[in-house]
Amino acid sequence: MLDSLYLAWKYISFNKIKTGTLIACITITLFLPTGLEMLLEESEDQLMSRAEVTPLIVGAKGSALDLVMNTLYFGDELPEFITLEAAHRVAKSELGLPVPVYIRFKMRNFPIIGTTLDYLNMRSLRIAEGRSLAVLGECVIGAEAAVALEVSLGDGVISSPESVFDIGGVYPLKMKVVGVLERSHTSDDLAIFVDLKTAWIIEGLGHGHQDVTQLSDPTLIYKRSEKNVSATSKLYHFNEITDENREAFHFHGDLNAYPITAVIVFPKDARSETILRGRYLSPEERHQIIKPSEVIDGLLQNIFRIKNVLDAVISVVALATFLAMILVFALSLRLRQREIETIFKLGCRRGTIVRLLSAEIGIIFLTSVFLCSTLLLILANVDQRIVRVLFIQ
Amino acid sequence: MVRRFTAWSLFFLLSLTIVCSKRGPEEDESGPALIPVVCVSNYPLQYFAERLASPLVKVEFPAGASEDPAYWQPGAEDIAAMQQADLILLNGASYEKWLADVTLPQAILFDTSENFQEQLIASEETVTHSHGPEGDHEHQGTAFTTWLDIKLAAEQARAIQHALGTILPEHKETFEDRFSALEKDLAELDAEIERTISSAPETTVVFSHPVYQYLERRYGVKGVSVHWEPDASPSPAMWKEFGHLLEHHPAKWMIWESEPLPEVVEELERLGVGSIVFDPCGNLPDSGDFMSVMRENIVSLERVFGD
Repeated sequence: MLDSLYLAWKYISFNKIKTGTLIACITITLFLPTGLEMLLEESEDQLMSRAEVTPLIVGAKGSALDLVMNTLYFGDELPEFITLEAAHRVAKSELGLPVPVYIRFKMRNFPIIGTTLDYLNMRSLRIAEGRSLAVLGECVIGAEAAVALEVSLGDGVISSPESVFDIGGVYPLKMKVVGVLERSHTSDDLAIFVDLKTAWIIEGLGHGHQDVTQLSDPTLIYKRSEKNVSATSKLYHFNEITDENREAFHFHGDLNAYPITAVIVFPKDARSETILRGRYLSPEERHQIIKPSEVIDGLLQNIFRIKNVLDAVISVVALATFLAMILVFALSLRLRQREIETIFKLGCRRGTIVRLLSAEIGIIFLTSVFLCSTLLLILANVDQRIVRVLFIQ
Repeated sequence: MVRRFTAWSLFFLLSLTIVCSKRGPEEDESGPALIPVVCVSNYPLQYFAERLASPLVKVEFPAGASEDPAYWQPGAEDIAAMQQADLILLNGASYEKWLADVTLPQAILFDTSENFQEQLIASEETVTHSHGPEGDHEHQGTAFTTWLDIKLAAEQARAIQHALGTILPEHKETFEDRFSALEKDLAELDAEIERTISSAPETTVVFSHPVYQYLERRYGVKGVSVHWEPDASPSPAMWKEFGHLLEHHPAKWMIWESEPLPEVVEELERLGVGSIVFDPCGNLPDSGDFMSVMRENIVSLERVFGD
């Protein structure tokens, strides 16, 4: 047997291009359906697991998919904004716990999630280092984001402008990292969490500046009366919240009218969930309430429909590859007619020829399986990230 | 041999009995039960919460150590403690100015004045400012000593009863019974203040600080507020301004939050203005409780309205 393997190996080594082409064809044919299956399973796991632990989402009427993708996976498509009043409406109903989220800003490519502490509690996100949010201007960072941004406790992270052309728009805000979260293997690992009010400060809705009633520089005062001080645009705004200037930060008007992207609702029980869903059915209703698992299920149905088409294509390609291999080996036998005759003349039996060819096919097939396994192993290590890029972001 | 064996057996049994008897009678398999922690932002809320739920809950008043809980700023330890609480009772009506700067779980925050928002009085201390292209801004709050209208105080107590019922639903009936007793006490207090003030409704007074808005509205007190501190002498400009005030608001009494300086009292008397203390009781009283402080306040009011 070893001599057959030796001769087969020598033959394969000599015909590198033919062998390489055959190995590539078989490897791709094996890898494609298996890899695709792996990616789809991972995407199903990621999408469904997070959707299933998020019972309900309240958001503006519009694309339910955009709302779910933004709220659960921090996708780039922004849903229409609603106001914090939507969260109070749920709280007043006493049917569930509302968790408002404002997912709009980024620090480089990492989403900044403006929310309340209830988000961390309800998602069971634990602090690995440092502590949780306590005051304005602080942030808690996901495990992967901390590694990618190379930040640790006490460092500052600066919010990115929404557009490079937005020169007169939102000022970047420097936030202090007070905690790093334990890895949760979800989108939360890539996020930066801040208090909702800090997110509004990033937007400029809340701001801190010198006390206008104490200003002495005449170039800072536009008009002064007993009840009103009008400052000029020269008035300095703080771009970092520190212990010294924290009290200078303030919000104008009713916070309930401030924007958020969605409210995650954790109903008390199944009955409360049903009652709550019923309250958003009126045609005049400006908000929609959705069950993320139903939306994600619909999305997965579409993905699986596409997967069926891909499976059919791959099956045809596999069949074509199989036929091409038969053709290659048949032609190879014809080309090697003289070589086979020589082997006969040397006294070998027909079985020896079969063994030789089987060894060649075996080596080619085993090499392909090995390469395919290696590729699958690599894929298994990066599939979470690929799924996030392909299906989520 | 048998006697020695019997002696050892008895000794072993006795030791076993002693070891077993050391377990407390209240400790079961799951260990001692945890008492829910309720944080409050001012003393009236503490009093109401304790009357309704003590010792079923542990009531903590982190701002109690400060001079004035309305202007308290929590430290890192206070915030951490509040984040661990089961319930945080807020006065609302823009009382908790610190709330804008801190991060607390919304699920445990409970605004006791939420149900009477339309009855809140807009604060007169309004400063407007503008900067850049955003136009005018208004920093407007509401008067926050809501409990000085005893009817509103009863509403706050009712809200606390409801909030306590959400964290300890098995004790709802207890809270209801205790609330009935508290409501009765508050109703008596309300009637007593009303009776005292209504005996001389035309009496005009000056309040040393603008914290009596709800008292003024509920009981029809004709008063004007100044900004005088009990532990500081007013400046000559303030005295002058006060003189002008008396010209169109001839008050015979000034109502203080706490005991004023003797020299200020003397100067006021020279102007024909007497001084009494009506403690709003926002912070822990030196002695007594909310009810006893309010009764002392009624005694003081009798001096003003009983003339």
